[in-house]
Amino acid sequence: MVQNSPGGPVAAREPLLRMKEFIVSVMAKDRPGIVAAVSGAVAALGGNITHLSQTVLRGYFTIILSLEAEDSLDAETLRERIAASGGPGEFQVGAAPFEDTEPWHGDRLLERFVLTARCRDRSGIIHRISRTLAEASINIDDFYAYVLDGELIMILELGVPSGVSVPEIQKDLERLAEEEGIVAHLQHEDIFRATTELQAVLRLGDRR
Amino acid sequence: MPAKEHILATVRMLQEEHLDVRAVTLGVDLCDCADRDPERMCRLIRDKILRKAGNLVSACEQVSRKYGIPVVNRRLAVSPVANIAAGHGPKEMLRVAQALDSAAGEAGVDFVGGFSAMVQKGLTDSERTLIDALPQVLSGTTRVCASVNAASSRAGINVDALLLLGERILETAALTADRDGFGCCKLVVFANIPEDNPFMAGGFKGQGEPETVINVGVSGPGVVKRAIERLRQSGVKLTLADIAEEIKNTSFRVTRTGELIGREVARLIGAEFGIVDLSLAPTPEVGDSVGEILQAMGIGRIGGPGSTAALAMLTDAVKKGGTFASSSVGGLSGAFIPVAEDSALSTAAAGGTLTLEKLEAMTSVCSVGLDMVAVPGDVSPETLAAIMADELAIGVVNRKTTAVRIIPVPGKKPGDMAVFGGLFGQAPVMRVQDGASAPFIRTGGRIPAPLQSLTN
Repeated sequence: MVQNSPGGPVAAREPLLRMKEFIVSVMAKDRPGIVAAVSGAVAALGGNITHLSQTVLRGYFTIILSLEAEDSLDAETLRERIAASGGPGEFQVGAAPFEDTEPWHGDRLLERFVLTARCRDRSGIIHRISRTLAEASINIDDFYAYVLDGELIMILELGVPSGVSVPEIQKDLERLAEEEGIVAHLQHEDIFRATTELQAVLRLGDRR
Repeated sequence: MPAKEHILATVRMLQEEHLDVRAVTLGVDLCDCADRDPERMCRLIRDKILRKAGNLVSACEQVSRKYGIPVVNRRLAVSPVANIAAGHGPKEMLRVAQALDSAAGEAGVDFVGGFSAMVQKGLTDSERTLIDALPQVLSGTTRVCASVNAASSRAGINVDALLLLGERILETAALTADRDGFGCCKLVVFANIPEDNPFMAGGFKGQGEPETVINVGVSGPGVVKRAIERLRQSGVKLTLADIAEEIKNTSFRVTRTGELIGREVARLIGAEFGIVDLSLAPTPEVGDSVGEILQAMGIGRIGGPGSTAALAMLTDAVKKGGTFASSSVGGLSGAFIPVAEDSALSTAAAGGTLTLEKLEAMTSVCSVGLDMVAVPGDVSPETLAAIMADELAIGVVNRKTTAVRIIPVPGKKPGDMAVFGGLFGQAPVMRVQDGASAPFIRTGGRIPAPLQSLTN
């Protein structure tokens, strides 16, 4: 991925003079050539993609990317040109100027936890879990869910700021199990890394 | 974030397949507690244990919560009491054991190992006293575990010590006759005893170990068994090498889990991290059994032909996966086959396919030896010593650890059930051949150390 390119994150570079940054999202039915079309439109405008994340879900493509471009470019032009790079009405595009904001957790350190949960699929389950997390000021950094044989299976990567009591959240989740039949486990990310990555346990701390 | 399928596989291991950390054992050096005044010595021992181990249980709970992994047992291992209490008599040895017992209770741990002596080449007066005190200690305390190293590849086998131990084991059984000789469950007689073993009853803090040290025993028979079953159910044509590979992969994960937990507990309580012991340690619970792994591998009747080969393959694959996972591997690191503590083994022994002799053969390719074996209460001390000598000879000649934890069950005959309860489980009393070996054992002395060359 672009973020992990050799030489460190591209975003760490100073933007070029008289350049500004945009954040763009595109959704479409998946087919070969969407990334080529979108990146072609960006290149034609003289833009440079610095970060990108793409996924395909049930045949639908979605991408979020940030780019830098000349100061004269505006978000609406960028959006129109990217939309025009697909077929008529094919791409749903959002574009906005990028704003560098303070991290939501301030200067508190974040620890990464993984929440895995499953329950009988029905309306409101994801809301119930995410509300519990939100009330505890825990951020969802990554979320993946699917339904298999009528069971909703969820994997969430969470940023837990220092000061948040993980045992308390675990108790809340146990209550969810009793009330809603949601079986959830909240575990520090390192247990998954230790059991799957080749790096020795000793090195886990080094990479945080 | 690790791949989704790896996350789900790890969760499955933890939640459905009984992966836990079997033992987090804190080794505490007690040599600085030695004192001529027994009362002062006991006070020093208690103070030091509570100072060093006071927050062991809470640290384990904290780490267990964080990673979602149960830590089943929290234990203590101390310097050999024969050294700490050298110069004292049996009564004082008992007082030291009682001090260890109550301090362990105050610290919230279920067992403390270290009522131990190293007598492979000969007995000091203190070591003889310690062995003499065993029946009182094992019957009069609840948490104290004892071990005696009576043989090594460098020194040979101390048969005099084995004969003494045979007598003391019978006395211990008699003193705990109301519990089927339970006191003997807390004594292990070793060849080549490891100094960093986290498992009880054989754990103690060796002399080469630091002031305080955390050693971890992982579990995982259930995880390995399920992995093999899944592989078999996948419909892919398998060879034994595929099964060995699956065991290696599982052992890797299990070992990593143990090291992660151990290092963090050590950091929290200010101790050094020692080792992960890879041993697959069963419990009497169904689904948590080394015997069931052998069955999953295709051995229909444990103890039948093929059992030793399957166990050898299992043990080797566990070691290969574990040593790749961690550079801090030690202790016993094999596969335990404690008859009473493993429901499938206990059933096989009751069914007659697993005999004492076959068990002995199987221990030549795994750890730790004749473990949790119940024998008739009327066995002679010479026969007990001869059984121990046989098992220790396997360790001495093959330069590996072997051990014996044998329980003569008072008043019971072959086929009767001995019930020890809890993690100690239950086992049928096994038939012992009366080999009329007393003249050999009674000759006494030491079997010399074996040749280290011409190894065929």
